[in-house]
Amino acid sequence: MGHTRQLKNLLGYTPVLPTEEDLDIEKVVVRYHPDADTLYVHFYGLGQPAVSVDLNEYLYVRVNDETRRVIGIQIEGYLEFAVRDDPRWLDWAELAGIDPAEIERVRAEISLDKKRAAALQATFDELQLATA
Amino acid sequence: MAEILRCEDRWGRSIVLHDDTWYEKILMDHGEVPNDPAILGQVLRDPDRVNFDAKHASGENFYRQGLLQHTRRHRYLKVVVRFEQAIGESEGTIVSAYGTAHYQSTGERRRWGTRGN
Repeated sequence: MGHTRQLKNLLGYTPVLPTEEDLDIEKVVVRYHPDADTLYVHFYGLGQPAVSVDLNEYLYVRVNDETRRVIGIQIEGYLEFAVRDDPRWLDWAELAGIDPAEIERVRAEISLDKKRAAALQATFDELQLATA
Repeated sequence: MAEILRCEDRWGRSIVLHDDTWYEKILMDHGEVPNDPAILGQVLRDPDRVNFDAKHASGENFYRQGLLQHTRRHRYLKVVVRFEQAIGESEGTIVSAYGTAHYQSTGERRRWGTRGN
């Protein structure tokens, strides 16, 4: 999993993360563009102005400069790179309207090591939350 | 799929933008990009920085400062181009455009322009 850049250094401020309370799940929009192999998750609907800041080779966080709020994510090289590096990203594929057969084809190509690492990471994340 | 913009980059290569990329991707996903496709031509003709893409061997990314809306003035508009070789001549297609905080994303290599990373 890629090197993580520091959001604060690149933006010049600490961005505000969305909370479950201020997210309306009905407004979350997931879109996939096959030509560019890019997946977007818009937390507050379409057309929000923001700057994209890369955290690693494929994951960008979208931050509104005026509100300093994280308004979504952008994943470049979604099916070709991102889901093969961290299979947890596949969770968005069906919601983005990607053909189930295509999802299964990609899932079958992901190495067992990557699947094991992703499952462990998901488990550790839950344990961390439970013990926080 | 109609052409909405055709222009040359700083090296004279022909680059095209299609209407579906402009209306269905760039404008819908990126409210920071002003509603004027000519602004992408401005970035291609007169960039501050050009990088080779991190993942696509035929990809180049053009950056120019100060063209976005609803962002801080020093942010960059990044235009993502894929090139195809056709009978000796290289033609590019714009596949995306969006605002960024910096002129170099992870893994990109400098081709031209502002130094540093």
